[in-house]
Formats: sequence, C-alpha cells, structure tokens
Amino acid sequence: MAELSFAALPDHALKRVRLGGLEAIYHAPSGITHLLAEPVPDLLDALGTIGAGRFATPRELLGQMAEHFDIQGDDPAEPPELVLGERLAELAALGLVESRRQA
Amino acid sequence: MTDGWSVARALTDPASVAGLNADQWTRLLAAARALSLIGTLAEILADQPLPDHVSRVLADVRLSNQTGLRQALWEAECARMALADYPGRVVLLKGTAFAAAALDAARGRSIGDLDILVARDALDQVEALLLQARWEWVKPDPYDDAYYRQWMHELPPLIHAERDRMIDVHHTILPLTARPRPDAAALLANARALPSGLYTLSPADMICHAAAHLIADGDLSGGMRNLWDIDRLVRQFVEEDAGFAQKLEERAKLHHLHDAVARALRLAYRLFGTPAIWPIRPGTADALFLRRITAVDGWGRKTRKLTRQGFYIRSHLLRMPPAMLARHLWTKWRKGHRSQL
Amino acid sequence: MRHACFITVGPARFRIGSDWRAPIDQLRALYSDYPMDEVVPDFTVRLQSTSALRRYVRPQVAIAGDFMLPDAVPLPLEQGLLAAEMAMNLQMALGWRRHLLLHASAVSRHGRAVVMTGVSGAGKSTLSALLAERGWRFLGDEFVLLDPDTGNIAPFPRPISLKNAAIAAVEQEVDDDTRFGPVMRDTPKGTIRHLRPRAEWVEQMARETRPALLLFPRFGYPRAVRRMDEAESFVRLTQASTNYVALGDRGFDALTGFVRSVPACAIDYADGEEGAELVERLWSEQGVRAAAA
Repeated sequence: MAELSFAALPDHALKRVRLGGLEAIYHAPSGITHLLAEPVPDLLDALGTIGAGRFATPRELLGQMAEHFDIQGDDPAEPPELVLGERLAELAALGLVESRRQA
Repeated sequence: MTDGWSVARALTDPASVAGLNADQWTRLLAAARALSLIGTLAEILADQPLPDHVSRVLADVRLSNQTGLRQALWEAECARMALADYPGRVVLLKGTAFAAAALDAARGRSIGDLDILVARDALDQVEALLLQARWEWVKPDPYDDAYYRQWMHELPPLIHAERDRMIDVHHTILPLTARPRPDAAALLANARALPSGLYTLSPADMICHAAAHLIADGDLSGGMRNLWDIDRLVRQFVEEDAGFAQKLEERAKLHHLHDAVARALRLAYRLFGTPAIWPIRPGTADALFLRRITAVDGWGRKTRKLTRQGFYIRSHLLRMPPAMLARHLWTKWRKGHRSQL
Repeated sequence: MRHACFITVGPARFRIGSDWRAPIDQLRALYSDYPMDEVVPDFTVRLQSTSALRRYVRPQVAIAGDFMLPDAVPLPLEQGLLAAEMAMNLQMALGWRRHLLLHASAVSRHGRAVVMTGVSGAGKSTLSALLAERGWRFLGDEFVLLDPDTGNIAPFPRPISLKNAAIAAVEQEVDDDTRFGPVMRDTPKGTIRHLRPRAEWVEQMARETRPALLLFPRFGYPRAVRRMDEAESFVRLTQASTNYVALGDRGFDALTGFVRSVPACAIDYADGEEGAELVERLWSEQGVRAAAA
C-alpha cells in the first residue's frame, strides 16, 4: 500500500497562540479552533521547517525531530515512525496538515 | 407595493433604495430576513450609499455571509475526505454547489445543510463511509426511517457528531413517489468536475433541479430565494453559452420537468426581470404562486395563511399518491404528531 | 403588529412588536430611562399569539423575530416581560457580530472592569447587582460585549433579572420600590423580578471601559480563591460565548488577547456579602499588581 506523506499548510491557513501549557490553533479553512498539547505544536513546527506544501514521510519527519525529541507510543515496542504516522493522520483528518499517498 | 415585492425591487434595482425612509428600511430588512435573502441584499447593496445604521447592519450580515460560506465549503471538503474511497461521482447540490463553483448565485446566499447526489446503488457504501467518519442519524424513528429509505429521494438525515452539521445524501432530485421522474443517471453522467474532485450538476441540470425544488418539492417557503438562484444562474449561463436556452430545453424534457422549468422562468421574469430565454406564455396559477412567494410582511411574518395551507396540501399530494398520503398522515396522527392537513 | 416600541441598549437597537398591549406597557415602564426613538433597528422581536383563539383565551406569548429557535415553548401572557427579555437575548446571541459576546456580568470602577462568568445560577447576576449598589458602575448582567479590535468592553446594561432568593436579598439593598418591575411567579426559572438600572448607568452606556479582572464565581460554597491559567480560561470562555465561532478569526484574536492580558480566578463564596467583598479585594490587589508592573 502506498505510504502517506504529510506537509504543512501555507502560513495564512493557521493562527497559533500559546496559552499556558497548550497551543490554541485557529484553522482558517474550517473556522474551527483546536486546543493542542505537546508535542503537536512541535510537529507542526517541524513540518513548517521542511516547508509549506513540501511532503515528508513520517520517517523523514522523525529524522527532523529526533534531534530534539524521543518519540514513543504507549507500547515501547512500537516503532516511533508508526506513532508519528498515527498522530499526523489524525491531524490530517482535522485538516491541520495536508496528506497524500505516494507511490 | 407589499413588503415581499419591495425585496424583489431592491434586489433588481439597488439604486431604488436611495429614497427609503427609516420605517421603509426597517420593513425591507425584516422582510428580506424572513425570505432568507438578507445576505444577498447585503451584497447587492454593498456599493450603494446607505444611511449609517443600515450600513452597519448590512456589514454585519456580510460578515455572517463569510462565515456561512467558509463553513459550507469546509463541510463539502469533509465529505470529500470521508468519501475518498468511494470511486463514483459525488455531486454537490444547491448553495454549496454554487459556492464551490464560484457562481454568481453564491454571492450572499445563505447555505444550510450539505446536499450531495450519488448513484442509487452507491447509497449503502456512502452511508457506511459517512458513519465511519462520525456522522450520525438524526431521526431514529423506525417508521420515518422506513418511509425515507423506501420512498424519499435521499437517505434519512445525518448529522456530524462533532461539527453538528447535517448532510443530505440524495440519489435523485425528487421523491420516488412524485409524479415527474427526473433521470438520475443522466444527472450524474452530465455532472461537471471541480478541481477538488467533487462535482456539480451541469448548468442546464442545475436550473432543472432548482425548478423542481421550487415547484414540486415546496410549500414554497424558500420560493423567492429559489427564484433568485434561478435568475442568477440563467443570466450567467446565457452569457457563457449562446446555445444555453436550447440545452435547457433538451434537459428539461429529458427529466419531465419542462412545465416546472417554464413556470420557474416565468415567475423569475415577473419578479426579477430574468431574461426570457424561453417564450413567456402566461400560466394559470402563476398569480397564486407569486402571491405565496411574496407573502411576507414588514415584521418578517409569513402572511396569507390560507394560501400557504393550500400549498402545503399540494406539496404532499405531489410527493405521494392519495392512498399512500392517507396512510402516512394517519400513522403520523396516531403517533401524536400534529396532522399536516 | 398592533403594539410596538423601540429600545436601544448599549450599541444594540431593538424593535419589539406585540399582539397584546400589556408587555409593551411593561417594557416602556422598565426601560423608561433608555432611548426609545423609532430608528432602523438591529433586530426585530415579535411577541405573538400562538393562535387566533389563544390571543384571548389563556393567552400565550410565542417568541419570534429575526432569529428564532424552532422548539421554543410559549409563555403565559403574565410573563410577557420575560418573553421579551428572552427574545432580545436570543437576537443578540444568534445575530450580534460587532463584538464577541460572553455570557457574563460586569461592573467597573475607575475605568477598570471585573467580568464575572459562569452557568446560570452561579451568582453572576446577583453579584453584579450587589456591587452596583455599592458604587460600582453597572455594565450588564447577561452579556459582556468585547470589542475584537480594541479589547474594550462596550456596556450592555439592562434591567437585572433577579431570581428567587436573590430578589429578597437585593430588595433589602435597594430601598426603592420604583426600581423594580412586576413579580413574575412560576416562570421556567422560578420567581423573577427585574431591577431597573440607575439612570446614570444608562446615560453612560456608550462609554467603553477596559477589562481588568476575570472571575468565575460559584455561589453557596465555602470561601475559596484559585488562579486559573490561560488555557483553562480560554476553554471556559469559548463555552460561555454564543458567537465565538461565528466571529471566525476575529473571535479567536479577541479571546486569546483577552485571556493573555486579563488575570483570572475561580472564586467560591457562601453568600452575597462574602462574594462582593471577595471581588473588591481581588480587584484592588490586581490594581496594585498592574500599577507595579
């Protein structure tokens, strides 16, 4: 099955404001406000660093983030890129990141 | 001029509002709201010199228009994502379609639920995908449910668990029990693709749908807005395609909606001066339809109750053969629903 | 509609129509200090009879207008004043776009306002009434209007809707029967009586003020104070706002700006006296902190 890859939205699509320990995100296309905890803001930052509209696989993103984060799921045996992939897919379902299947 | 007609006048001749006093403005705005046309009025009057306070009220309406538009397009996008694995065409209908295709008719239009059209044999799959993506049933009543599935032209209503917005999934544009029987397969086959991968009806089919919706579906409560849609659509399509009138003729005949379209065009001509792309031959009951459509007062109340009742009975007759009608209403009565008659 | 009046409250103008005379007469009395000129209104409200017969026999008031709820339950004519208030609230809640609306009360002193928000019955109305009688400026007890561009509060002072036990408590503080409206019993929320705002608050309606303190009061609990962080305030305020979503990014900017610049506390108090005293203390402390910053 083709793998999913993800990209940041253009800058104007999200408004992000830090509120205490969380981040409030206004998603312009839907008008919906999301309240997200770590490490989601960092996920978005990492994709943003790669560049809006430039797609990366979870593995590639992991490389970007691994310098600063240990990524682990509830099951320590689970590979981190799977965990990352799940979080990214959730964000894509909300429209907060773009996703596509690559051949 | 009644308050309903004054809304039509303001829409067709925006400069005419220059002479309105405070009381007339008050009545115009209330009537426009009741006709679901305040959004349109606000856009049409956007460049007119207006008294300060009227200007503020309509500026607020335009802000609401923006929000409504955004929510409608996002809802369509969510449906698209949910149905990504369904290989067939998903056709947007009504206001959302106008917005997605950036048509003139979308300007200031209030958009309610999301309406989509799919092939009848796709209903099960589409239903399953929507439920998976967290839409839920609105009406749990088994009788209504059975009625819907068997006789209506759509799935029972679904509402999204988080976003709290409804989606209506149609497989044709009129109930199966109604007299005119549009050609659903032809509607799907002629649909136009949007960049997103969703579809809209072809221009001629859009007019047919709007006309069907207006005449056959209605107690006509959205009548004037529907006719405004038709006015905007006709003007735009005629400008873009010199042969449009002929295409409309062919499609209307195909869908057995020729009378409905003719009536809609006549009524739009009377209300808004819509170009007469078909010859206008006055129809019986046109005056009655117009009275019903303009039946709103300066307080925003629907008026002329007797006429309204007549139309409601008529709309049920159109949807169901009399014997079925009796059974349906009796069952509703027995369960304690207020009878529609 | 046979009977009608116009009322301006803060920045909002209402046109109210009625099938009966009594509610309009009562409105004219309760709002006698307010501008009542015939203007192009922001909203039209209709108090209408449910049927031709019921206009006269056990008359019931159905609430209608520019914005309506499909399943609204009609009220008996004796509660027509309440119906009018609910109808006006509904128009604001569903239709107002010029400000972010918070379901809250507010009072101010020296240009700095305390905003009190919470569920119905938590005490924000009564608290605002008590503070107002102690020299605070009354800004409203139902809606707080936040300007998305400036962050200012636009006053929306209306007759305060006192309920049940609070009626007696406030009647004690306000020794003037002309300031009260009729007593309405057996309403959906119990017994209700309106307290008319002082004329000066109505006169100053157009003067905006700055928010300085946000409180989440809870009546009938042992005295307690707890600081609330920005995220929690933000979430609770989105729940307390009827038009946050409708305002889109303006609403987002207004609310994030608000919670980041206005300190917030949850306060519990056993009775009105204790509550008022808590509010005054916290407001003073916040003023000292702000001045020192």
